[in-house]
Amino acid sequence: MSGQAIADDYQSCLNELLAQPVYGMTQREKSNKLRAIMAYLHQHHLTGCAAYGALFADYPNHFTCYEQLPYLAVRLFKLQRLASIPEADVFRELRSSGTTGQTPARVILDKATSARQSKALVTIMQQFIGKQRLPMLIIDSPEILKSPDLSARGAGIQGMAFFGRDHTYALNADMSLNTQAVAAFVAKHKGKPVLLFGFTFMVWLHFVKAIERSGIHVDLSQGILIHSGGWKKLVDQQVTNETFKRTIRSLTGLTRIHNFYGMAEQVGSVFVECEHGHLHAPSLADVMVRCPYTLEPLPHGKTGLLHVISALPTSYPGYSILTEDMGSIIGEDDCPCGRKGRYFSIAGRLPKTEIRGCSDTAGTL
Amino acid sequence: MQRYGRYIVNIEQVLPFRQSIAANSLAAISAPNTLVGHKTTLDFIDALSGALLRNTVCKAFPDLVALGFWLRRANIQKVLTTLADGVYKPVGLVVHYTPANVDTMFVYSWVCALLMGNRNIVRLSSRHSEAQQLLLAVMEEVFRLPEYAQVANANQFVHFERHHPDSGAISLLADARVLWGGDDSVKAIRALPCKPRCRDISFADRYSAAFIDFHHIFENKKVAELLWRECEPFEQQACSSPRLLFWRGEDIHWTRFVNALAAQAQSAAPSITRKNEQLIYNQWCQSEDLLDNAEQAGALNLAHVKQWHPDLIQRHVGQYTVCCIRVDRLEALLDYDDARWQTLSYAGVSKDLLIKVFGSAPIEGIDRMVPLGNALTFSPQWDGYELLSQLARRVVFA
Repeated sequence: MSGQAIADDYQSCLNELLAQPVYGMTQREKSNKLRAIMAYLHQHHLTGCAAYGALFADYPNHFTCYEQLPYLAVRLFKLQRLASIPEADVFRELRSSGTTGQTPARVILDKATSARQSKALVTIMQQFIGKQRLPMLIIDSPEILKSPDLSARGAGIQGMAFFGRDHTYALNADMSLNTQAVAAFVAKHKGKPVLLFGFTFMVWLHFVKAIERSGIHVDLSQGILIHSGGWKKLVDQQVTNETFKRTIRSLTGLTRIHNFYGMAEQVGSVFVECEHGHLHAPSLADVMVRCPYTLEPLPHGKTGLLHVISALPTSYPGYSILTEDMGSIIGEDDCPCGRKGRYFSIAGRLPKTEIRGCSDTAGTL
Repeated sequence: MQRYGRYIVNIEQVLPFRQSIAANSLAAISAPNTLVGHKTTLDFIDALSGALLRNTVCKAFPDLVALGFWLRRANIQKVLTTLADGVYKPVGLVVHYTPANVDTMFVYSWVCALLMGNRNIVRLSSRHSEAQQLLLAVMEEVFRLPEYAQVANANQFVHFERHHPDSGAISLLADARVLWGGDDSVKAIRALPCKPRCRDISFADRYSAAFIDFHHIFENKKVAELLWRECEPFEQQACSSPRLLFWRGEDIHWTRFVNALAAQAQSAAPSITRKNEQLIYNQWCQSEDLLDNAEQAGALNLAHVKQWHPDLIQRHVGQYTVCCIRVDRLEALLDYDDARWQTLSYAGVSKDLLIKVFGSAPIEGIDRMVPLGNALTFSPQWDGYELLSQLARRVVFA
């Protein structure tokens, strides 16, 4: 199949998927449509990316289920620069250090992939915050956007800022609560819906805890809080999702709280938490679980490594990725929230490997 | 002593007993040297051997049992016979910088220095594994015996951070330094000031390989067991653990061997991260055409090399990955010569043939060739050094 034919087929399959409601398809309907797109993406990256070609040229190109798809270990994006497009088409290179290490992941974007990602993010987020742009309280310091190299945190805020207006930053440069700004924001938009966004541990540490300590009254009962970025620091402090939500509710009256799971290697196709605390796969993405000891697929209910697939990336070979996050699939099509498709939960990260051996002198770490 | 530097912050002495002490007050600094192979020293080492082998808890740690055996009087006598005839004197004070996680390694090089009559300061890791804790407790027991007071006086095991303000002052006391560590750590320690005639024995980053000629192997099970014995300890991250396997033979030999190896390599401690690490290594190297396919044999990831490149070693972090290279004759190994190659362990080939092939070749790497199964067995000839003579002065009577 020629490159153009692949591209055309991909686009028409993608359009068909985009025409569907984000959470409206049953798993059966969805996986049929998504699998076809995956087959095109596999073909596309075989021809576009030499590294992908070297890895998977011998793979069968017909897939009867997701589990047969080839996948890349997520760390490869930190170790290599993986592109499926000519250098001239590179529009932006996203660098994200994530929470794990110093070496950033490098994600190569062209205009088409970038536009697709933005569009997907908008479509998914609108399911939770509506189409209107709401006044927005950003749980971070404005300084985060001022550094010359945009950090992952900065990029995340920039991306989410699109969903709001009248942006107000809740924190000072030293991460202390800007009580004046918060009070003014609350007073100005009293009784009206507002949007809040921040990274999970920042929201907890510098917003929730600071409000608790200061004893100020903050009424955000009409607010929607979107947060992301991993639970590790909160797990260390033994703060569960339940505690997180309950504390926010009792302090501010805010009840609509949605965590989301996403990664720099698959921007756009995020997995958002519903009213029942479950992360849902949107139409353009899906999730599987693999055994960390064998990498074989695991049945629903078993905890293992999350293998995520996304219909979006054509500029880099990241449509099928084995993450280093652990989780389990809770069910399909039957979440009490009414959303169809798979829903799952996260159980933390794969621990870091210990490097032993002679090549590590005492006290150098 | 003061002219060598200022002693600002106390360091922690771990053995012969625990105390906080200024580095310039360590007893080893002013203790007398002893004679090479002195009787008290030999008795002390034998007592340590006995204490390790008698201790019931130690039996659970193969490293400690191996150490106990190595320290037996008969073996130490044998070690001393490797010294060429001549008159040897100690160099003086030897400062040892030990590796963080190969729990027993520091004892071997320390015993070599001790045998040659030197005084020793041994810097230990702050990360004490269970095995190391146990080892230190057993050593303390022996150090406390009144008959070894002199040994205790001349040997201190200490702990201080790399950036300790007295790090340079301690280094300046050394007549010889024994440095275990990765290239960067060794370079950092060597940058510390030292006496003009101080000798450095540096054990930096090295890797090792095995060679099996299946045309002369009749017991796959035995050979598989020997290879696994070299891979399993230290998560395959010691410098003598084989990371490469050269093999000669037919496809059928290989298939049978992999089956035998799969049966052996089941005893690995379970690790939730290992399989993912193996996947990352394979994909990283496969995507650059360095590796072909890989096959699993128990815990081992046998990765077939497509195109040799130093990155295959550079990226290798143990995790039970063995890069396999098929060769048609032993001489082919010469093409892989590298100064960082430490050990070649072999099976199905004679020592005579090895001497014939490697003895006259201008190789930069390979310091030792040992029968398969022995790669991790310490000997006083290590990394190309003869430790005993390097840790002594040879006096010539002409």
